[in-house]
Amino acid sequence: MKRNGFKKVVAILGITALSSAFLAGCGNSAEPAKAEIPAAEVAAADAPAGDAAQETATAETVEAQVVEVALESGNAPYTYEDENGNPAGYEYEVLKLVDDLLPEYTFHYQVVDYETAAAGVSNGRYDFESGCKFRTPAREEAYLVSVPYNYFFMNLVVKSDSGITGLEDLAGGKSIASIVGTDGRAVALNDWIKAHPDVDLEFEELAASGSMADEIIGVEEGTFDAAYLSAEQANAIFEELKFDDLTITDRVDGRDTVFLINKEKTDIQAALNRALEELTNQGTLGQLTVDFFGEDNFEVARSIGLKKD
Amino acid sequence: MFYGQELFGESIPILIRFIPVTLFYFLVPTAISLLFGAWICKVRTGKKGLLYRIVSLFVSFFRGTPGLLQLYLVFFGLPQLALLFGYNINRWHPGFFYIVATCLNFSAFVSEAYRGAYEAIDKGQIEAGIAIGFNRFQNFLYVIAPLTLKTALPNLKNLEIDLLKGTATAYVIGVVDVMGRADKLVSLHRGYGQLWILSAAGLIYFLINVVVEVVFSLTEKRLRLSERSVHAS
Repeated sequence: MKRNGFKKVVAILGITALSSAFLAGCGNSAEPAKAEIPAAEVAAADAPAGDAAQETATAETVEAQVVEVALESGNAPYTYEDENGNPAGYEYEVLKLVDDLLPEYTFHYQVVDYETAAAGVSNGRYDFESGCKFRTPAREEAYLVSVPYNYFFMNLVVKSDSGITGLEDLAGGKSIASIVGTDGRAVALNDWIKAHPDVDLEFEELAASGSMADEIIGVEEGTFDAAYLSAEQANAIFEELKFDDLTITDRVDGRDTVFLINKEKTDIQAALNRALEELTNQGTLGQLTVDFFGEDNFEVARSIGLKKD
Repeated sequence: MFYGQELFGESIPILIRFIPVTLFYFLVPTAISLLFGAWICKVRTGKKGLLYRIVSLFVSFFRGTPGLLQLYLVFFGLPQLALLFGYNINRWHPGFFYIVATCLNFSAFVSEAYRGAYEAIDKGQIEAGIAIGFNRFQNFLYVIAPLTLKTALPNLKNLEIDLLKGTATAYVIGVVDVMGRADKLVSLHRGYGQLWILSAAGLIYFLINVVVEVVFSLTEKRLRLSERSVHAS
């Protein structure tokens, strides 16, 4: 029995050694990310996400440190995967510009679920995440945050004949469509409610995930009096829903958005901030917001006191 | 409430392109787990030494904790573990981590299906094999393995169906299979037509499952037939 047991232990050690050799082999491989994409997945997607990162990698110096970036998947037009499975959105474009300014780093992107991105940055699986994140006290405690790379303005979607033009008009128990508690919009709205105790509007957070389309449908169906989201998000949903009795009000609130960086990666935070400040001062980011959102978000933020120079 | 019905039809051709990916994440863990599960079963039906205890703990852990938690443990934990040995596997494709997590989980379940079946075998048959001069390997190949597999088959069929449905969790770590694509389509439409896109994915999973069930039923039938012909001859 003992000899048999010994043989088994030897066998396990052998397997472990082989696995280590396999790990070593893969670790030294010149194109690890690409080599490990299953053939079936490559065949299924026209251009897998890995390709974009690969191009960036080959364009820069070999010594550049690879930075793992988690792009949140559910955030069009900020971060998402396009029809062909490639990373896309305003923030992806910002990150490409940042990457170009930082020869010491090469960004490698993975488009992942919201929870995976958040947990992955905390645990070091990703160096930072991009997902249209507002600065909140909880996030500032859990992560390092970058300087702002965009400003996000909230508007209300209301029935055209409701007469509602701003959050103050919701006084008297009018309701806002529920938002998931972890969504930055919920934090921003709760901040506004706290700052305006005289406006007794009704707002409940959702525990599970909801969708922005559902928020607008809730207004259309009369379940809620207003939905609280950005004009570009609302317009994109209108293109599909084609409701003609709803209106988007003027902006009612705004926040800056930041990258959430792993607590230990102070060097990456410093590099990101350096590049973002340069791109902001050059006006490059402002122009990019014009291309994506139709107006210079930095200028708008400055005009309403959100951005202080 | 049910807005976006046009997305049902529009999603199907897009999602169909990802069936090979879903099959990949179904078949690869199946192949590995059927072998690894057999080894675990061998240890669990053998002498109760140190290895037996380690393997029993392994089976009990992977059967007793949620699959999604295991997936996260492997996805976030394995790179940290590899880093201790100086290997950076953070850039490895998420599919690798899905396969590792699934094989660990599925092998535990497969081993128990095998064990139940092995213990149900009439031990007289094993002795008969030895009596007619089979060596240990021949006895395993011609007596133990076919009898165990035949008894385990209905159980394995259930497990395989669960495994196939379980591939739908891979999207949370960034694997783009049928479910991953469906999730991204939902995001692309900001939740518009969500129920319809998910229903389209559901239909595809259902049809793949029908095929899996048919394959298992045919295999069971074939095994029954071959047994009958053995008895008849």
